[in-house]
Amino acid sequence: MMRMKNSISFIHAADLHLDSPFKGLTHIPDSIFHHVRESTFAALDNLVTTAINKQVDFVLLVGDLFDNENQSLKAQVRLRKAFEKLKFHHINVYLSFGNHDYINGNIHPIVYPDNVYIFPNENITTFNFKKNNEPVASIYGFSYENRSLKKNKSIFYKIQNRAIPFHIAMLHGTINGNKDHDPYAPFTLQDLKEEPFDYWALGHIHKRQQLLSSPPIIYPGNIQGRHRNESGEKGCYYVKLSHTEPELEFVPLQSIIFDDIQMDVSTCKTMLEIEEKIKNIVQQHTDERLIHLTIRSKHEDILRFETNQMLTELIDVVNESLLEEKRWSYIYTYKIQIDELPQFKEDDFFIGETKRAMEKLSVPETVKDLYNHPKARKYLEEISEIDIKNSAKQLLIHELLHVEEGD
Amino acid sequence: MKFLRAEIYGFGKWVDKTFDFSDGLLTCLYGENEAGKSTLQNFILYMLFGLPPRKRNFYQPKNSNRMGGTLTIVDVSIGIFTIERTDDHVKCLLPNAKVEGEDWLFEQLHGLTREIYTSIYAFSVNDLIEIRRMKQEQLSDVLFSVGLTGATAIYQVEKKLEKKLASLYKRTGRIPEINKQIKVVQEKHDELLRFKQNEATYRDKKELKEKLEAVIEKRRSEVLTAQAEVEESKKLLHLIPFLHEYQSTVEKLTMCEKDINFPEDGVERYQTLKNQIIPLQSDYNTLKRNEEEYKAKLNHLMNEQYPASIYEVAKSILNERLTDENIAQQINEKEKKLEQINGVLKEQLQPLDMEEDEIKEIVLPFHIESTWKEISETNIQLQQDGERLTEEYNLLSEKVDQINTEKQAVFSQLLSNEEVSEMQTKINAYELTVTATKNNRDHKIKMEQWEKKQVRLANWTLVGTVLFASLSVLFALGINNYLLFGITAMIVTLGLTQFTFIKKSIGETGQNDNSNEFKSIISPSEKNKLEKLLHKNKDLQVNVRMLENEEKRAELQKKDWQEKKRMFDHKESQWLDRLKTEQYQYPFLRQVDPSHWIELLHKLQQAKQLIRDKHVMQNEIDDLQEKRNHFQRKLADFASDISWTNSTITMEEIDQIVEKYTINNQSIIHYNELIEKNEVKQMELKAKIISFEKEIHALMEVASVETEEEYFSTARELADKKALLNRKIELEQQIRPVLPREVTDEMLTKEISQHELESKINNLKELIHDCQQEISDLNKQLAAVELEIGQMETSDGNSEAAFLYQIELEKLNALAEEWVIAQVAQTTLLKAKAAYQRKYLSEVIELTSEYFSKLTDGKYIHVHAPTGSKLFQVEASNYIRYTVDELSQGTIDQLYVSLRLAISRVMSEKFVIPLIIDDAFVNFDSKRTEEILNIVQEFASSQQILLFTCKSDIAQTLQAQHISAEITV
Repeated sequence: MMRMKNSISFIHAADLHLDSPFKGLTHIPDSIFHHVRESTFAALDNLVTTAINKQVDFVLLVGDLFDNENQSLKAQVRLRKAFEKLKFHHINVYLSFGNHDYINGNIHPIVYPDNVYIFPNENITTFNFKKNNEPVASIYGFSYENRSLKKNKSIFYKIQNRAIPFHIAMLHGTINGNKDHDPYAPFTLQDLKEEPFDYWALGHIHKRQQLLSSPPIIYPGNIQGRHRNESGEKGCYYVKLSHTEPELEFVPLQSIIFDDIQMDVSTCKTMLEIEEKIKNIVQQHTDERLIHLTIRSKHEDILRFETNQMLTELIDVVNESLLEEKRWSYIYTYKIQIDELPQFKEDDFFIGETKRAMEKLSVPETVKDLYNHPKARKYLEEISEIDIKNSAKQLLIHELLHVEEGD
Repeated sequence: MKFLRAEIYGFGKWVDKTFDFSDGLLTCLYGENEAGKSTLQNFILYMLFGLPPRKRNFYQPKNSNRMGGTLTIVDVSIGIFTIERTDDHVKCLLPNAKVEGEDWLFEQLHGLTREIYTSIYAFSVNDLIEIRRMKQEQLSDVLFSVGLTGATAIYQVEKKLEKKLASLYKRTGRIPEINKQIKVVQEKHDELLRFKQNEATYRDKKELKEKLEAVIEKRRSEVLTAQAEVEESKKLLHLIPFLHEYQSTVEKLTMCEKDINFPEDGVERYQTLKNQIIPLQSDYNTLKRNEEEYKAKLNHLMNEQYPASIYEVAKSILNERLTDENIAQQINEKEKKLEQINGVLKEQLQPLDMEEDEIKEIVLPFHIESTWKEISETNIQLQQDGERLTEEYNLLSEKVDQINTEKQAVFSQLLSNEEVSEMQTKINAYELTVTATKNNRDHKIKMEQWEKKQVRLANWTLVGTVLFASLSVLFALGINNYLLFGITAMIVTLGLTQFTFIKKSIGETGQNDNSNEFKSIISPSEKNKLEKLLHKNKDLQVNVRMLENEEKRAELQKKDWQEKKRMFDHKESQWLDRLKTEQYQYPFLRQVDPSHWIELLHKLQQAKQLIRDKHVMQNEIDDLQEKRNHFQRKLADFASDISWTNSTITMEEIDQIVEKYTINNQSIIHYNELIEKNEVKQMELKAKIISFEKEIHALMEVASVETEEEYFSTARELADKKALLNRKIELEQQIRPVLPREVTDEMLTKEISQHELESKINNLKELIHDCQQEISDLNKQLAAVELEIGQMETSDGNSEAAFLYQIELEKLNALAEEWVIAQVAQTTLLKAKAAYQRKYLSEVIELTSEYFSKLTDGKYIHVHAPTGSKLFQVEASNYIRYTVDELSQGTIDQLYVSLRLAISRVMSEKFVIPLIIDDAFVNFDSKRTEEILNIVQEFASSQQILLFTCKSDIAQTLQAQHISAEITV
């Protein structure tokens, strides 16, 4: 692809979270452990390869390249290597640090090659990208100095030199209204429209989304999903800006896909049928996947299987064959969802009493035995009371109602 | 809710059977065992709750393939509706003609399940046993079980949860999963921490690396600086001689600042002149030298040269040389001849056995020859006569011959007496004079010779003198020189004197000879010979006497012969006389046969002639020898004149002298010529030299110097100054490029100590060495750090540990969640139970007490629910409490029935649904049965009861319907 004089092309990625461990995996088979562990780096390699193959002018990395909380020298070394490779191909890198890799939290003094331009602090800094010794693009951005940054930084983005053809803003922050991510450097869409930037390269939110098409305001999402909530394809945007319409292309980079698969086994009468059904559904894939399987049924019978550990065993068997495949899959967890639970009235005897008891129950008080355990507590994550109560309720009702048959 | 009718299409034993329950609320159904009571109960339950296929199959009627039936129910809120189930199809036929399904039914039943129903609203005799073991929990369970899922279910759930919780977590446990997992997580966390701590040192290491690199760089630059300084110093060191030279040059230049007058190209010009003079001077000197040489040689030659007189003498000697040589040759020849003569003479004399002198003395007159010839001839005659006689003699007697022969032989040998005496005398004389004779004979011979010589000399002198005198007189007369007369006269006188003197001396000598003469006739050999002869002669004499005797005998025979003989003898005698005379005169003839006398004579004559010749020759030689001697004396005189080293001088030497003299003379002449020429040349050269010297002098004047030395000294000064200037420039050119520009001027004038510089270099070198050592050490440290950094950078440990930790953490949290859910469930369950109990237990127990009291006819007035581990207690009317264990089976059954009824009653307050009692009172006595039936009847006032019994009395009491499957079939 030719680099046209009046156009620039670049890769926009964010939230690499290199070497950050996957969540929700209580067990990883040895055969895929390495792949899983290397997946963020593989995605980075894919990014580099993409940049090289597409002969981009530069690469924008908008924060959270790695996690300070989980300091990994390897991450930074590998990052440096990736940058060196890009340098070899004369591709610049403009990177800003985000709330996870904030400047003051990095203990590893890794020096990146000189093709890497780092926004040095929380003030918006501009780098001019030159082509044939002429500045063709101004790149604006800032880095997090500390973990948290509550100010709206977007309003400080001001175009510096209008003679330069393209102006690209890099911003690691939260769009107003998003509740899944910490509300750092919050902004509204309107804020970003104030200045005539040609492209807003956003970061922080791991879910890919294009907030606006003209100018493009994009969260590329992270490049490798790391837990169930980061499912599906993950990658970067390949962007080509010219004086006509910007060209945008999402390029998947992930090495492993987190997949959420739901299946209805209501019609299945035997374990064998369920197994067949799971296999049929799960096997339709082209990528290595970590699968969160939701087994739905209209019948509570399925719970009986679970109680008997039969389902677990079944999943194990299915996993065994899935892992054997050329592109492996692995069901790392499954959930049973009964679509039609028996309904009880408020005063339905003990069940009703149980419900009432459940509602009144203080979960923290109930679980303090474990959660106050001096050794355990620091390792335990916060729990959702609702989820817990629902699960407990489901358990109780099921157990209470089906105990006889279970005997 | 009330069951109105059950219509069975086919269910178990029942086929096409309809039961009607619409009459009143208490319906008692009587049937024997196996009458189908349970099947009917199950049918009702099937209608209400359905059945799983498996159980449904169990009730598949054997006589019909139609399974199912209907149950018609009246409900306050709905009205009359019918549930129809066939196989797994359910239809609820509503009064408004609507048809509903299972869900609707489930809702109408308030979620009541078969299990709950059977636990609360249906009880049989089989359940009664449970109360015996019942404790508080179990009561609760029962309570729950009667009210909800049934006691066991809750209990089991509780137990299950408990078990699960226990297996998951115990606060102080180790074995439970969470406890284990905590430990695992802790381990993983610790491991991760270790990795992190290790990684945390990365920064330190990086910093250390940078620090090391900085120090190394610093040291390197120090080394470089020092090396540069060393180089600089080395250059400087190298320059020191130049600098010193430069400085001294400058100093010298300042010292010889004054102007020096010197002609342009003075030295060259001077040198040119000099160069012109030098060959001239050299030539001049050569001439001088030659002159001296010539003169020296001349002197030498002059000194070497003999006076001319000597040369003249030598020349004369040389001229005489030939003569002398001739003489010598003559002498030689003559001596040879003399020798020949002597040889011949000796030859001649040998057979004669005579000495020369003897022969000399023999005088042979001219007639002797004829005399001797005659004798010889006579002899022959005689011999012939004799021979004849002899023959005659022989003829006469052999013997006489023999005797004569012998006699003749002896006589021939026999010496005469004279001879013997003579011999004897001779011998005697010999013995007396042997010694003296010997000496004197030699002397005599010499003297004789000298005498002869003197005579000859005297004669020669006389002749010479006379000759000379006469010649001198003639010459003197010719030239009228009176002095010569004098000289001649003097010579003559001298000659005469000499002659006289010689003659006189001869005379004296001759006298001397005579006085010293000794007679010596024989030689010693002769003497011996003589002695031998004498001796022999004596022997012969003996023989002669013997022979003479014999002869006498023969004499007689011979007298004839003798006559003849006498004649002959006479003749012979005559001859012998003559012979003897001759022999007397010439004794030597005695030994010679007369026949050889002529021959002898000739030989003697020849010998005498030879002797004469010899004398003549001898005299000639002597004369010649005299001449030579004279010449020799002359040579000797010459030698002494020239003071020759040897006493003699050879002709060759003289010749050399003469030759040398001649050559020398020529040389002298030659040298004299050379000297002359030389002087002319000298003059010429001198003139040229002087002209050049003038020019030189002019140059010196310009330089205001007197001498050449000064001139050159000035020239040198000038040259030195120039050289100094040049050197200064040269040095500057050498120095400036080496030194930095800014320090050069300073350096040029600065005093620089080599020692200081060297020590500076050494110090710097030490510094460099130290720095390099330090760099080496630092590099090692750096390499180690870099290695560690490299290891850290490539290490996967942290990442892996983080992942592993995360997994274990997830596992822990999953377990925790499981635990939390279970815990919440458990807690909820307990709380629900507690609430439930609080809410219903008292009511239940109260009712139970009431029913129990009624059933026991007031024997027991109160029932106490189990608390803790305690069992049920009942309080008798006397307030004594009994645990359930202590009660009789009947009482227990009563208690249980009371409890179940109470529970049902309490529960039915919520939801009224028909109660099914299946022979629960089978163990009751009639009294009790009556009581319970009263209660049941009372109970049925508000709630439909289907009471199944196999007891006829109950059936009678309650006017039961009699049911029987067989009957219906």
